[in-house]
Amino acid sequence: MYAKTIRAAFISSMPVLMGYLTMGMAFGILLATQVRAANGFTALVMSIFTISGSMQFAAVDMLRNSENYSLLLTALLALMINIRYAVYGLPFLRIFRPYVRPLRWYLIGTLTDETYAIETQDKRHGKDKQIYLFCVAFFDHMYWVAGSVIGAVLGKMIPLAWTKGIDFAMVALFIVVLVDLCREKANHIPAVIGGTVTAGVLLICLQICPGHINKILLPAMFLVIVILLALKKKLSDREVLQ
Amino acid sequence: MTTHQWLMIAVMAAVVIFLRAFPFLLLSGTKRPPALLFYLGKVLTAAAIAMLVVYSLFGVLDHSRSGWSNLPPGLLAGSVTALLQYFFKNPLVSIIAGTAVYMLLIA
Repeated sequence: MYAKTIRAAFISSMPVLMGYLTMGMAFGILLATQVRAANGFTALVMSIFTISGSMQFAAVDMLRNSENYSLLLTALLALMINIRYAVYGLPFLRIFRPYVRPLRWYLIGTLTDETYAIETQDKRHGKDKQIYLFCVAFFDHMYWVAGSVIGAVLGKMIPLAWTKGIDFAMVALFIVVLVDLCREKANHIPAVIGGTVTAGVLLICLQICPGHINKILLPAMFLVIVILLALKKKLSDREVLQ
Repeated sequence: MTTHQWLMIAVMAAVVIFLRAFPFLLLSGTKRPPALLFYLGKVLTAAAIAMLVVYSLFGVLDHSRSGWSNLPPGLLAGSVTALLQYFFKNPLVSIIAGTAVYMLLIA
């Protein structure tokens, strides 16, 4: 009865299919090669409950050096990387409100950049819309989960001897995410601030307290937030922020 | 996986879910959310990722053992990654090529 809507949802999700499968695989391979104890199951759990590329890639690095990350630092970093999600739900506030609770929470929990982009385009109404939104969210979710599990299983097969320098893949990944973010002009200044402040704090720490180099992320983070807040007026005035 | 690592995974998932649910939990349908939230949501992502680029690059360089000798290969491989991504927009290609360049240069 709703076959047409389901098909429409599948077609809308097609562009996300390739993107999520490849990005998911990249995540899985990294996780399996970087974090010794991680496997397909770890990737499965992370992808089912988090569904955030930038968060999960950052998580690989954090899990690998887990002794450096207290749960508080983990939470603060997660908050900082994903704070954009705090405004994603806004266009859906009224649309989701009448939906039955499980559906509402599933749609909220699966609001990724790509799913958000598709769902905000939709002009349907009523039951039809509910089916469509659920299917788009579910298909995208499954592409991401499938990609990451496949990647993790593949990653476990790579012999360890080949992996000297492979940890650069993590840096490469963050660069890829950053390049994509910087296609938007509004992100240029924040990116420069984040990068230079971190480099500065690193160099200063190397001079005065080289033993604590692994703890610089937290102070650097606070410094970046303070600078960005101080620049709020300037950055907003430049109309780079719509 | 240690208990601490699983707890980290749980904390990260909880934070992401909380952020996605934030407007639904705290804002009524009629009230406008604080402008500061919009601002931070906009600027913090890029800043955080740029921080991670620098921080993770430093980690890869293995400074305590090899000093700055891995820095030029790292910068070169990073530029290759960025240029490939900028022009071809294929994450997998950019990451694999950039990593291969780095692995070859330090081998």
